[in-house]
Amino acid sequence: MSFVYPGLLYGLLLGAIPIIVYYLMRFRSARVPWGADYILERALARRKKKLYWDQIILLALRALVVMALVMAFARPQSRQAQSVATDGAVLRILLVDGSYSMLAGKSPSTVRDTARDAMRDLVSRWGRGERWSLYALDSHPRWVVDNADVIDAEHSRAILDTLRVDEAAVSLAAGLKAVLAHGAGQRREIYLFTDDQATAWEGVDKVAAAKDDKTRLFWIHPPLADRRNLAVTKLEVGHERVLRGFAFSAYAQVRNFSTEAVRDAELTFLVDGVLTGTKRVSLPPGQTARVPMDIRLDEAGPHLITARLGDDVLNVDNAMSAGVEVVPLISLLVLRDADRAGKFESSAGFLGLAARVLAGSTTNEAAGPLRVAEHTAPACDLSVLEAYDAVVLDGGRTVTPELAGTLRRYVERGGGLILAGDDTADLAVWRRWLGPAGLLPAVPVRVHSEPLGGEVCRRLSRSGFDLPALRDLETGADGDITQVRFFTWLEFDTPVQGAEVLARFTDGSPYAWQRRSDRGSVLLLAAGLNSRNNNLLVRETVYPFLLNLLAESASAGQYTRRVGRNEPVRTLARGEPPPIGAMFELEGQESVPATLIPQAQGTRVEYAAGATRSGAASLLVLRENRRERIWIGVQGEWTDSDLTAMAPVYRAQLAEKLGWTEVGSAKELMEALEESGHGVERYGWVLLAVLLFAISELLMGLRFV
Amino acid sequence: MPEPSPSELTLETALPADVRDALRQLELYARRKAEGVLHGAHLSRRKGVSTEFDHHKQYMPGDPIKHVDWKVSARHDRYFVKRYIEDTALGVQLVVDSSASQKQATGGISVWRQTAQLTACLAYLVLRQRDSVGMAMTNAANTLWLPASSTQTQLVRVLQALVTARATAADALEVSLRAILERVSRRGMVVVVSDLMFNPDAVRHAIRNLQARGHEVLIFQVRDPDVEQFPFNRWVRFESLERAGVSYRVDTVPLKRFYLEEYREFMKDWKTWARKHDVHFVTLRSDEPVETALSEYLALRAGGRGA
Repeated sequence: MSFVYPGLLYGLLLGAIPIIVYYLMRFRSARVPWGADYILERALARRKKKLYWDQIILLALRALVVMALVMAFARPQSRQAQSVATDGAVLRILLVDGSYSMLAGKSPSTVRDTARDAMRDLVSRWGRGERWSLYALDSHPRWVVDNADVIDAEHSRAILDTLRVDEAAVSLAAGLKAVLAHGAGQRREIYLFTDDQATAWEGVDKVAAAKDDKTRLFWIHPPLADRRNLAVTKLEVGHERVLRGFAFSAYAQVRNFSTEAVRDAELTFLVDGVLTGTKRVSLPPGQTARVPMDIRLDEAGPHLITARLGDDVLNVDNAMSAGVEVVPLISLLVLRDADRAGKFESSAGFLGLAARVLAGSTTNEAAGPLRVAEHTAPACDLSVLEAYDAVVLDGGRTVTPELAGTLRRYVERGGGLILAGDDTADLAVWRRWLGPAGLLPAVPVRVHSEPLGGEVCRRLSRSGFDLPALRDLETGADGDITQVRFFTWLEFDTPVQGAEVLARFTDGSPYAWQRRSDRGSVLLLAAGLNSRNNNLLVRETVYPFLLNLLAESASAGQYTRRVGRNEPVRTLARGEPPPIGAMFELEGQESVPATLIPQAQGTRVEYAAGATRSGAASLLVLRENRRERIWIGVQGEWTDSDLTAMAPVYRAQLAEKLGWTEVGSAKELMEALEESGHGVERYGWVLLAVLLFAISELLMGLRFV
Repeated sequence: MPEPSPSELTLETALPADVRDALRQLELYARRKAEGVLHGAHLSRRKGVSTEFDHHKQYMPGDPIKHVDWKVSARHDRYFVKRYIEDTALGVQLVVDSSASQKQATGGISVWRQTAQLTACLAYLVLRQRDSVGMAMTNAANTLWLPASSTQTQLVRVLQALVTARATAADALEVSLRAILERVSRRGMVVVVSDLMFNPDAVRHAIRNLQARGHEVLIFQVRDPDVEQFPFNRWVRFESLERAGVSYRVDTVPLKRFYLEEYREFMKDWKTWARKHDVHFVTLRSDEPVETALSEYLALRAGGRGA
């Protein structure tokens, strides 16, 4: 013998109440002056022995009746069959969908609002001692309440209020499977608080067979009139580190998750919360658009860029954010052979000129956003390299093992290395020392040279860029890079693993290889960054392309300002004084401390746990004399944005298997419960218990009156 | 239950004017032949002057000639004289129970108050028909004895005795009855007014002795509603009125049935005994109007039926 509600067995102590009351009443007896002693004594004398046993029997019976009542409410069940021996024990299970799709609809009548109202009304109907379970189906499906007693409605509602939606698609099949396995064989009422999202209901037909005849299932969800849902699925910025005062592009990826076309949806771009620009988006169903927005920031430092769509049926997926670091300049160190030192006709001069042109400066003094320095290889200390955002190995023959080791450490620490191969490069030396150091994205096999100014040359292609910042060049709007002609170029063998081509020549052969390490990157160019064997210097149209390449390389050491959900968030805090503390903040949530890890280049600020949901986040770095906020865009995948309802045939099939009662609101749920006699099953027991008590008392009364 | 104060009973309240008016038309006649000193309205064992013919007797020298029944003498050729039953005054002895149990009260009305009023009414009734009334009241070791008298001041004495009496100590009704047996030689009526809440053996024995001496005995029992109904349904500590320091703590719910059985049995026993020994047994509740109860009884008595 076991009990459905064993906790109620503590109530057996109530059996002591009649005895306590007996002695309480005995000691609180009324005083009555009495003259009829003679009759009283005769009554007492005649019935003394009988009265004693009657008292004992009466007390015992009352105690037993109370204990029987308690046991009746505890609902004994057969241990062998595990079936409830006493009718009326119903296990009530709430399965609550905690995915973002529950937020569909206009507040305060979203699916979740309706579910919450219905849940609150539902638990209010339950009495103390009822058994209930609550299964939260979100990114971490779990039993919040596992077959526990109802204490009171307030307590139950407080538990319900702790439920949150989170950014994850859920599998209703897995949740329903867990719920149907819970208390199998008992009488159950399962309440599904979820929407009719097709993706969530996938596979439910396979677990529906686990529902037995003793289980009643209620499905609570309000109908969605409009299912047109657009979402910003990604927001990219050209580089992590962009130059102050130079336009860069942000790219918002917008997807139409509905089955209907959307026309002229408004997409706005905001920088630090301030509207920067607006675009119109029209999308066929199921399609994705990549919408660029040119942004120019005149203030150095960390900024937050946000792309936001107008309100639709599901608003949580309408915005994405990304952080970006705006720097006043990019510092370059050009390593070259000693015999070419001091000759600024080469890359350094060219880059300086290019930068000045781009900055609109007409004076030779202004170096623009580039600070270029020259160093003669091979003797070079790591501390020298680390003072620069990028290092250009401008051809050269004097690559030594020491230099290769220094460059490798520089890249490992987050440096950007550009290997510009020209006819001066000793490829044998490069392969010998740079290859083993892991600094070659592809193995250059030979230098191909054609007569300068001849007909045979290579031109840059305007298509096939993998680098987001270069994709605008495909349109030619920002410069026709095909006018550049290269008369000397490197030919490559099989690329090493992890290398990718950022740009190609028109014949399809690679021009720029990139290989990223944990932090740094190596950019291998098939031609030099000087005008020795090309016409780079005279072709201003290629400057944006080249500056983007430099910025991309200089961004290598920059910790990304766009992270996924639950990905570690890091940044490098340079400068003095060193940070004394840091906090990670996600909008709408409380701040949590971040970790400080001192490094050679500065202090790494890290929050390893990452953000639990998408949105704008930040690392607040505290120093002795100031604080700085570094914006991070957390970009999760909108896996729950597709609000397409499950197919009618599938729905009908599930309805037949599960036999659910479908309601659309709290009111309808209450009406359905009333019709199905919800909650009255315990009344029989209460009635029986009260009847038992009344009969016992009546029998006692008849005996003594 | 508040203990009634003796001061509640005064000369006025013991016999209120309206009660006196109600009793004015009532008469208490002896059922047995009485032996009074004075001429009265009651039949006597003695033959004498009366209008009530008894029998004829052969004339003997010395018999008054005026009593000779000439018609009968002529028919029998001998002299016969008429004999008449003598009318005499009735001597009524009131025996009042003044034990502490008389302090039993319900709703502020004590048994003692009703007892006193009933006694006063009886004394008034008897004196109004020019019979004599006496009273015996014993409590503890003291016996109050008022010799029978038919004067109007006797009523005042009776009332004063009732007003000043204290209901204390245990029952000693048999002492009063024995006092009557010893002191009253002439036949009369003995009226016992009591709650009868005691062992009846001694009292019954005394009553039987009185009857043997030719007294008519009347018992008025004053009942207290609580004693009669036992209206308790909880634990009660009954504190004895007659025995100081004695109390009974009982759960009245299971006891009630037994108590009521005992009470009914007790009453039935008294009534059976009274019927068997030709004793009029009259009961009235303490909250019942005395004059009503008394008039009903006297009406029954006048009709020849016992209570």
